[in-house]
Amino acid sequence: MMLVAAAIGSMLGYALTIQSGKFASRLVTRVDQRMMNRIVILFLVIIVPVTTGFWGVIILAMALMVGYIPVTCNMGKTVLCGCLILPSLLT
Amino acid sequence: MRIINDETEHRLMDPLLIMLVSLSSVLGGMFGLLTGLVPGIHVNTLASILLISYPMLETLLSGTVPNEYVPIVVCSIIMSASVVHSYVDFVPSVFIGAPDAEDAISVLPGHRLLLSGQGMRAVRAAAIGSLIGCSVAILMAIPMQMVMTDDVTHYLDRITKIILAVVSGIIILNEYRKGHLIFAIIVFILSGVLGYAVMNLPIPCEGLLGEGTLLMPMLTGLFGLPVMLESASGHPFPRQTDDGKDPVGFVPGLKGVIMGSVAGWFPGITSTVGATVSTTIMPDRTPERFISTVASIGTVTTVLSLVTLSISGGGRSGR
Repeated sequence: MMLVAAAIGSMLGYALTIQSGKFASRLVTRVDQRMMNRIVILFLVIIVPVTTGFWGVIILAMALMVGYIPVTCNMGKTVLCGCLILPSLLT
Repeated sequence: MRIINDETEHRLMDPLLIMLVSLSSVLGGMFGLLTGLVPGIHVNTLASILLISYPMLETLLSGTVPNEYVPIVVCSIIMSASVVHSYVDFVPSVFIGAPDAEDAISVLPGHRLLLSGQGMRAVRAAAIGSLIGCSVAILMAIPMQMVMTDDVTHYLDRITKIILAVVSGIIILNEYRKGHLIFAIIVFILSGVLGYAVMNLPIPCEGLLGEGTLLMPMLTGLFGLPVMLESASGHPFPRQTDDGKDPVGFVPGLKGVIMGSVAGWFPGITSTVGATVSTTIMPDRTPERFISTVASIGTVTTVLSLVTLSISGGGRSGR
């Protein structure tokens, strides 16, 4: 029965992804990119304390500093996967 | 050995149960849509809420639904929500650069396609990758349970760290070839220390909506926000086109199935790590193919982990 639920979820997921993608496509073309980015950054900055509190903001700030290094040095982003690989190696 | 006895078999054919599973799956799908589209809400939060409210649900459904069907209803909601979440979470990743743990490294290629007016190609590639991944995972879920004996799983547990160490070496070696050895080591260690702190230290993460996951701010800061800040050029987004065609075919999805199966079984290898291994060993030629592979890995991991959990009572990839 779990597999039946997965199959139904899969069909729904496909249709919902395409539909929400179309909706998001229409939405982004109506707004200025700088405005859109500001709205999204503001949204993320608000949702982080709302969902994770003060320490979420601290983690976001620290992660942003580390995340900016590959951008400024023109490196690949896969090195940032250390955030998931290193904890698995150490525990 | 005959695992399914006649009574269970009869129960599985019960039209009431089939209807209940279908309805629960649709309801779960709606929950998955919500958790997938809103960054920061993990589908595990929904599972926790359902488990906490299980006694209330049992009381609510008693009289209309046989008691032995209530766990199946709850499991169907969780399974469907998880599957839909693993599909839909690519939409915020592509359009607003807020990734989930499964699709963190696909933010940049997704955003690049968006900036060239092809955001829907990224979405379609992800949807097709997830569809192939989910279909194959459903087909191989039961046979894989039979293959994965205790001896095999113990062996996998033992070699996990060796594989992770090799993957780390390959990632750093790739940057060494581009002349960024020192910075690659620094970034790998810094992000690793941050990840270790988020996953292992008792850092409070109580928000206004209850306890959240610190993985969200960490992944958004590492993968999402730098892309958003860099792409703020001030020009309007180009007109998005959608030809409605499959941009990738089935090969990236099948590639994702291979890595997703590994990620679903190795403890400590999440789908993002699996995607990193996949792109390191078998690089994708286009961003669409890369996104499709990552999507497939995420969905395969979701389905296999939940099926494993339901059968053995213990998860293997931390879900």
